[in-house]
Amino acid sequence: MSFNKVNKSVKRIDAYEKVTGRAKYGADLKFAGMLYGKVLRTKYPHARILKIDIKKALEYPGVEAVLTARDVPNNQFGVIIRNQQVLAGKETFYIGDGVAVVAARTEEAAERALELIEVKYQELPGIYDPEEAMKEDADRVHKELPGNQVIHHPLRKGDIEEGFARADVILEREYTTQFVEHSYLEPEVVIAVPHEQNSLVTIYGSVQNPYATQNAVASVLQVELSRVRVIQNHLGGSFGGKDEVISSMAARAALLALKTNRPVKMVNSRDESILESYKRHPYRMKYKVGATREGKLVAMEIKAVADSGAYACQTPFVTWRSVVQATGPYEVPHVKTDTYGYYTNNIYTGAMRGYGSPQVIFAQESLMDELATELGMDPLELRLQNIYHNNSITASGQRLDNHKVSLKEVILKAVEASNYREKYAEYNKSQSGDKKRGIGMAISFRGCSLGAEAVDAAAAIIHIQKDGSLDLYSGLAENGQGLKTIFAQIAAEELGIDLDRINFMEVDTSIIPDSGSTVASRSTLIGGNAVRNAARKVKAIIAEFIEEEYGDEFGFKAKDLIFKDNRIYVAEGKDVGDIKEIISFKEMAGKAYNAGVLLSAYGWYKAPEISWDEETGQGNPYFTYVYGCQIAEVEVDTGTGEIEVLKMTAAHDVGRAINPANVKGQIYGGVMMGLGYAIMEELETEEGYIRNTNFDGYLIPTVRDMPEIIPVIVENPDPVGPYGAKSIGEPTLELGSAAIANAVFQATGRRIRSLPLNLERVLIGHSLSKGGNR
Amino acid sequence: MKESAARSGNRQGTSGGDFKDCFRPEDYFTASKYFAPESLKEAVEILEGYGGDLKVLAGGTDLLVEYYERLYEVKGWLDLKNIPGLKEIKVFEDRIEIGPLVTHTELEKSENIKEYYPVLNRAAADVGSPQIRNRGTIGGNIITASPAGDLLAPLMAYDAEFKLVSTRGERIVPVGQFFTGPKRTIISSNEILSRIIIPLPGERTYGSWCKVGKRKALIISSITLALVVKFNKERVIKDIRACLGAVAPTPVEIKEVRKRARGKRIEDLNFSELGELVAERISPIDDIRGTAEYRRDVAREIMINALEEIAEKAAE
Repeated sequence: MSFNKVNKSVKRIDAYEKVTGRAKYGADLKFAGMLYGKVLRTKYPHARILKIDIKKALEYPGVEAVLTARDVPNNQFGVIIRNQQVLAGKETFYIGDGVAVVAARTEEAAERALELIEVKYQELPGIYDPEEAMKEDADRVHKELPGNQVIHHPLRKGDIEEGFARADVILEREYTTQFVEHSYLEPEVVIAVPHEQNSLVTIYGSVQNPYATQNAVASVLQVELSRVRVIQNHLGGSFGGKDEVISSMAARAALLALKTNRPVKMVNSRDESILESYKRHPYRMKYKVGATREGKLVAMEIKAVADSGAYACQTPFVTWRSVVQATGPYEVPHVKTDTYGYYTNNIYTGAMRGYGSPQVIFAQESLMDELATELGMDPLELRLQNIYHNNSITASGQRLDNHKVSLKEVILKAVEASNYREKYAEYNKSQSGDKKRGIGMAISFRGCSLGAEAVDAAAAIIHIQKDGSLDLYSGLAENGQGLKTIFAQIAAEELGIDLDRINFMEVDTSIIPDSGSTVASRSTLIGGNAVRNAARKVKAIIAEFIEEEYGDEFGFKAKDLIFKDNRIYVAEGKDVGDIKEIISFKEMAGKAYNAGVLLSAYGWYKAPEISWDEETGQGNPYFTYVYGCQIAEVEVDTGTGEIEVLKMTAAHDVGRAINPANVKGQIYGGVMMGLGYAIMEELETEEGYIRNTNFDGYLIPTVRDMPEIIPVIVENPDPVGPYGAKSIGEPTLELGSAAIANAVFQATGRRIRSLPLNLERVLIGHSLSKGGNR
Repeated sequence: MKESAARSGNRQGTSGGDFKDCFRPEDYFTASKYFAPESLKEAVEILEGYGGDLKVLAGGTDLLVEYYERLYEVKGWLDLKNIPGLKEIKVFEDRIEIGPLVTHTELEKSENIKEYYPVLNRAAADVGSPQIRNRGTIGGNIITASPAGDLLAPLMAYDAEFKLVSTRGERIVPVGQFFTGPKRTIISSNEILSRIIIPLPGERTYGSWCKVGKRKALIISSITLALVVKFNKERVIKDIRACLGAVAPTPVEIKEVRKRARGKRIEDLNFSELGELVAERISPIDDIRGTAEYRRDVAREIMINALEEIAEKAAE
């Protein structure tokens, strides 16, 4: 199959405006009469609010409004379970809870007003450990709920007892992971503009999921969806992070805007962002695995507990993805998995790139290496003996028969590119000096898109102007991942035009239908199909029009037309590729307009059916999967505990790379994020307080920490994806921590079962950090 | 000294309050007094007049971070940037004098520093990021007096002295007496650090530098070690200084190392014993950059490594 626009590393269509500074981000926007909004946050993670006195704050010069929970029509919102407070009314549940909001003419006045709000708290004991929250006699974080459990997902396959009875070797291990901050470059921004163009309120800002924000604001204000319009701005990174926190901010800004009848802008500082925004879930995971002496897996039992923090947020779905992926891409006949989420008074947790997979992959891929050691096997061979192939049955009972299961190919390509076998043998020999090297791997399968979480459909609009230029709208949003370029490539491929004729519009909820959230690495797959659908509809209209105009004269049918190089051709003569131009795309557009032909179309794509039984964890949870393998090579200073990641090889089957350069970009970024997760990132909490609320204390990797990264793109076109394309965003991040931990084990003989592998853990085997996480 | 979020609470951060739409440093300070005198004499007079109310500004990489979003709390600024001579590195027969406004980048690039004080040179190269090294100064690093200040252990290992001036004259203080606690020194509110004076090391002086941090750049040290050893012609150790940062309230020299090693040849030393000695004599704390237990373990290891490195260099 040959392509003209897709499967090519074209330049990002939004690159120029971003590198020149022309691109406007939320914080750049200004409106006439605009006020500045600020949030007063609680002093204690868990407290009763006895009294709030806003009188002095209201009197401060320049202050236009001070609002508390009393002013919120509907104070609870949430995508899955509605229990997140817009503003804390009677009780605060975590350290980031807002207590009051202020709008003032200057930021300074808003700041001063916050200091003048008098709040009387009664500090309450809190629960800061999910293990505590699980206990029967534990206090309840939310009094109106029967207990602290957010969710429990069971999965049962085969007979676990019979499975272990057949095992020659049984290993039991416990693994833990930490709170992680998204660390997007741009902190959260929202501007709410009242009564703009007949909307009740228009929201601009760094919005990851415009529809989720629209839904939350409408629900909080108790108005119809069409009254709330959300327009996305350029986004300085999100990684799953600008969802509920933005919904909350947008609702607060909207309340202030409607109260004052003026636009209200709210911008978080980095401290505010880290203090308030949700994090990646910490997990505590107990794994028990049984295998035969020959290394065949026979049984796996897993109990995983996620800290949901103060609110449910995305916990039910995050833990659900963990269930599906918890056993890894291995054939295991007998499986018992229980995955839980519990409320605590810690900072709440939600979506972050990976979404429940990085935690279980760290555990299960570390476990595979531990098992290999126990069996005296090479970890690669142990994996190859057990991996999924076509027609394998997953832990949830799904037969993998509708796409190419390319795990073996992916692994072998990574092994080859990293020279794994030779290095593994070399590093197994004794090494002199303090600096020891090791190499380790991790593999995964990952369900594409939402799966059984929610409705999985998306929209696109293609609108051709009478000069042949084109506006493209999508219901999914550019989050920095390159969606605009990918979608423009797909439209250009179908219509045979150049990318520079396509103007990609920002998401506007009043124009384009609700397409769900831009999450789950679903954009190329679901949104790409929607764009393709729109383009094909317009193309059919054009072809029909051309046939009417020229068909008789030149003797062709609509179906014979070829759209290419900004022109429309028909095949002529016997040789393939012998074509004759009928009309240019531009000229066609003018003629069609004059003939009264509609050159616009809505595209829509709904994902194939899936199924899930919540009682047994059985079904077909995703309609297709991607496969990945990452191999880490490290050097550990056994004197200081410093880890240098020398090289990461990342092989990923993406179905089809619509834009190979962009795929590589995703791999480089994801690998670095995985590296940070593995060796340094940790939000340290202490009784609900956060110790590191800025980047001096919360460490993310710098360019000097970046290893050589070898991306290996594997292409096995999927029958469902546009041109066969599937996913790449999240798979890149979920593998690094286990691969690095396995490499560190080979280098040092020290098995570290808690993330991150910081200096202490590597050197002395445990962290004495007073962070309180463990 | 344990950093406790619970005790201090989580500060309500703000955003953009200090910066508005202007980008000239002078403009940030309009609310407070701002002086940029053109001589040291004038500078100390202004300082004398305002007592402790003025913040003395060199590169600003510590001060502007410390007062981020709270610049209005600073009553006035004394910016040293226009005073001639403070940015120079001067070589004399027996010493080098470094002006307090010499930046980390300049220390990193200077041929003289590279030749005479390689440990200081390498420590400067390990500070923060290129931006911080371009702005941040040796004087600022000394006056901030962070226990983790990267230049401090090297200055101690090279036996530096600091010249302090005020309207009442000047005094010279050895580095060993200058630091009194975390972010505390003996400098008075009416004094300015005007020179860093380091004796020229003789021939056969070797040094080793080690910085351990949680990542490779832009990181406050978990522990640093500057080891400088002087040998005589007979390859006997004349002097040895093992100085560490981030392991005590101030940068420290482990003087017992000198007692044990002086007068011996390096190959006759028991490196493990000296490593153990260093680990015992430091007084580290638990903080976000490392635990006491970790720091003791590492102090021992890096001391042994440093001795090995010097033994190797001295043998060449």
